[in-house]
Amino acid sequence: MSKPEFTYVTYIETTPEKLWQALTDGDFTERYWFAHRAASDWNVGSNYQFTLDGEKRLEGKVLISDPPRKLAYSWNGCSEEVRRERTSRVTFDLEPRGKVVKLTMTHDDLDEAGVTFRGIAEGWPMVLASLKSFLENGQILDIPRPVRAHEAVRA
Amino acid sequence: MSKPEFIYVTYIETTPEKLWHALTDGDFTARYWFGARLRSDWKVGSSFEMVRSDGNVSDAGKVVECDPPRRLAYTFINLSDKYKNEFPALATFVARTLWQARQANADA
Repeated sequence: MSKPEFTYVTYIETTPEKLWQALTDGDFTERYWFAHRAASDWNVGSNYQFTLDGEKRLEGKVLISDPPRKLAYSWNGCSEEVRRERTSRVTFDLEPRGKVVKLTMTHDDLDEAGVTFRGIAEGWPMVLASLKSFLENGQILDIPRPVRAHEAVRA
Repeated sequence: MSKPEFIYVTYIETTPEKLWHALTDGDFTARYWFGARLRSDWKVGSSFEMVRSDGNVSDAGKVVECDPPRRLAYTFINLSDKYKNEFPALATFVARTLWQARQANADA
């Protein structure tokens, strides 16, 4: 495990199978992940991407795919400001605990001074809180989509 | 701020007032804090206790900051022998509304 890393743990009242689907199915991610749509066959070695309004925002390769227990993929942001940063890695561990699932998300291999590190530290709590609400109540959280400085300038 | 520290951020569909009540009212904490009831008058400098469902006080400390419904901080230490050589820890809760989050993003 390399430094720096960002770990977020949450407990969700759902099944590992439903949580796996929510993490990998574009129809689901589009709901709670601020309109980002995932696409992949989720086989080890396959490519995956997340698109926003049809534009590719995030891409990488599937590193571990052990449904419904463990999913890992490499993480390359597609925006101009993060393109030169190193490839980082995201790992989801799904662990059943009675009627809930303990979800541990670890994002590591990050550039310590990079934009990606700052962005994901803000972003994961929003995405995973919205995911929890989506799976437990069928409703996403009405959190304003994060506005980054460069996006505000471009808009 | 002294090391080590543990920070956790979550987003809850509620109001700051309801969240404040849930953090400070013993009847509320007993529901979600695995039976533990918090006891304090929540004034700065006042004592703070965590009472288990069997009536034993497991943790105690002092209120350090109290600015309802935005900011709450208290020290606490577990009273069992296992922790007798440790220093009290400090827990700080900060609540922000989405309106403030929007403002913060706009200012960034």
